[in-house]
Amino acid sequence: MILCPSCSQRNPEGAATCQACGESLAGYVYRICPSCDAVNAAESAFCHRCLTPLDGSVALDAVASEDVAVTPYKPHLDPPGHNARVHLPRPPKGAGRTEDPTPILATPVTHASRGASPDLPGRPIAGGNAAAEGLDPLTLARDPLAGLDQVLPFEEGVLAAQRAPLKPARAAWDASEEADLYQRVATEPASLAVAGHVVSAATVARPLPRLGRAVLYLLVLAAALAPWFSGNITGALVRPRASVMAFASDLSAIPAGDAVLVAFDYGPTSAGELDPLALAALQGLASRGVRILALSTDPAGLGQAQRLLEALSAGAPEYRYGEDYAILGFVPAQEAGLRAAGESLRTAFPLDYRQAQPLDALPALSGIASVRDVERVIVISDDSQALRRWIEQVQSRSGVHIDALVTAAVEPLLAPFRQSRQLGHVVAAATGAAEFRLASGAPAVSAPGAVDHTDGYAALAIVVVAVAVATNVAELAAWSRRIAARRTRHGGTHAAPRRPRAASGKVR
Amino acid sequence: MSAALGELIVTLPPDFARTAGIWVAALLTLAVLSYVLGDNPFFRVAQYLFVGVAAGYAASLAWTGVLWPRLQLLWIDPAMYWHYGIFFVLGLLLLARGSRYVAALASLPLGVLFGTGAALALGGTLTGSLVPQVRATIVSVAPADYGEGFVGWAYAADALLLIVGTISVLAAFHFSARGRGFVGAVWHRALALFGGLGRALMMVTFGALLAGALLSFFSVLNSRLAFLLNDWLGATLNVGF
Repeated sequence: MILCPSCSQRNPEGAATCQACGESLAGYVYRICPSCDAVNAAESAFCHRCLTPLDGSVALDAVASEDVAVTPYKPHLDPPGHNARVHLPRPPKGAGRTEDPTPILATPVTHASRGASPDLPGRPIAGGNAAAEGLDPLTLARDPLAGLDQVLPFEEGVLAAQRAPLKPARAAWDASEEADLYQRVATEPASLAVAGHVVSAATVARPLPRLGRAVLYLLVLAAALAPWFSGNITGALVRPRASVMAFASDLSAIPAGDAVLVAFDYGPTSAGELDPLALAALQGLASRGVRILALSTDPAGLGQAQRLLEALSAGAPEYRYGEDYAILGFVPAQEAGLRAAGESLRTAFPLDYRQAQPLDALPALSGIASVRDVERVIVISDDSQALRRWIEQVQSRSGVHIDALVTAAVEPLLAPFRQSRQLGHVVAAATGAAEFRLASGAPAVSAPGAVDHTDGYAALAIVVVAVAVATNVAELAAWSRRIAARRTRHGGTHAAPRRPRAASGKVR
Repeated sequence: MSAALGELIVTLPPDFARTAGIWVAALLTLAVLSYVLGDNPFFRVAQYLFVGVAAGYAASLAWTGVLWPRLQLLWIDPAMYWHYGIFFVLGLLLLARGSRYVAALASLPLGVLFGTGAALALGGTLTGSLVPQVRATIVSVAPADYGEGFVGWAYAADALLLIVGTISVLAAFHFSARGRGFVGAVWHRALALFGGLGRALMMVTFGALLAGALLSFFSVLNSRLAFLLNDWLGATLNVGF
């Protein structure tokens, strides 16, 4: 039904002019639902409240039959299990629009006819009809949502705003009218009381309290400090993995005088984890007289290279810069720089990093023109993307063997490249340093007085497992309490009341 | 003034620089660790200092390690290193981006940058990642191809897991409407089944990645505590930890 914007007369669908005043209905704004009198937008095809088609395809006469079985719907009074649906008989085939639509006068629906809310007085509207007591089947048939306002008091305000006689819709609303409508809708009391239960903030889940977080921090700190007090309990339990054994074996097989390109692609952030393993590998190479050529695609990596190689040289004075090892420099521009470095080291590095000399002047680079001339490349990195660039730009074009010494966080990400044999060995640095030293026959710790951190990793594992078990037990206990509370609330049954299904079979 | 400063420096102990560096590093470490108590000015100072120093170091390295040596070569032998001149000019044109009146001049070097980078990345991804990875996924599931007995069966199961895992993870990212007919329904059902398995596998993978990240962070914490106890407190108080 179309509401006339001039005189609020309800006109049938498809009417071009108002039947009462003759006003053109070309610019109408509202459509009235023939079933529940709800006001809908002009473009709506179905009522937003009861889903009745607004084009009149459902005949109203079908709902007037006394044979309609209707059970009054009182969700807050009836025990669960009552099916409070309204069953409407299907209209006979061929029943279309009514031939002679009788103009239905505006019969305002009062609060009393819908079942007045206990906390809101009934407000009969102008032209007020004598309100029917209680809920009769016809009222329910026309308004399936009757009585719901007792459960959802906020809707009372929304319904009140709709039932009030609307002023004639005009193209432009007065700002004061808009404000008045908004104020009425927004200021309707919305009680949080639902069926007598007040919803409080205490039932809302809270994040881990500060005390729990502090306890967690202290446990992790205690695990980190464990190596200084435990006396290296787990040191004897360390067994090098097969991958670490193979890596140590391969390094020991490199002939003296061969060159290895080492890329220090990590910064000070990961130095704590990577330095022990990197130093162990470099010491293994230096002890066999293998030449080390260092470079970096990370600006901070050259500092790591210089620091470690100076420490290496301090421990082995016969291992000298320029003759046995050299720092080539920084490789900028990521893919482009690596492509250039892979093709020609002299093009990528006109001068070396430390002495600013041409590479031809350094004996350590004699016979080395590109990465194809080195025995292998060892990339020390905390970034899986750096390894991917090395593989894509260098390994795929030159076929050089690449080994990776990485952080524990990056190791799983490189598994596909190991599977495809684009990477040789991948060693994680967390426990890899101790394993490598054992595999290569060196002492477990790099220097006297240094601490082996395997006790710390073991303590961390104990803390993580304990916290996981404790939190899961607490969650199970809380879940059991919630189930019990829900069972008590619904009178001994486990499930919550079933929600009504729409005609399509889907739950609303 | 400078003379007085020079005299002061001479009177300093020889390892003063190292000691000062250790104290600065220790205080900044404690400032970063103070974040466990919540955001605070000390953490902010350390954070901004880190960002600024890293940027400054990268800029100085770019100049001393990349630009200055090539500029020297261009100056010494322009006939041989003339191509460096072109790249320097392109680099200078990039600075025009800072002025809106001449910003259009930066389009050429930006085009070279993006075009070269995209070409290298695309070519590298195709030949370095995509093709080798696809080839590595085509594996035999016959135990006889891997060895006899339990070893053969173990490798065959691993290969089967690789294939099923790859297909199921790909299926997890398949979004389409349900097809019509029996074939469409069966296909939709199969995709849903494999997609669920793929999501489960991804959850396991993310769990492993999280464990690795936890181990890495713990390693860094270990190293920082070792620095604080041995290099800072141990050296300052002359005690052993």
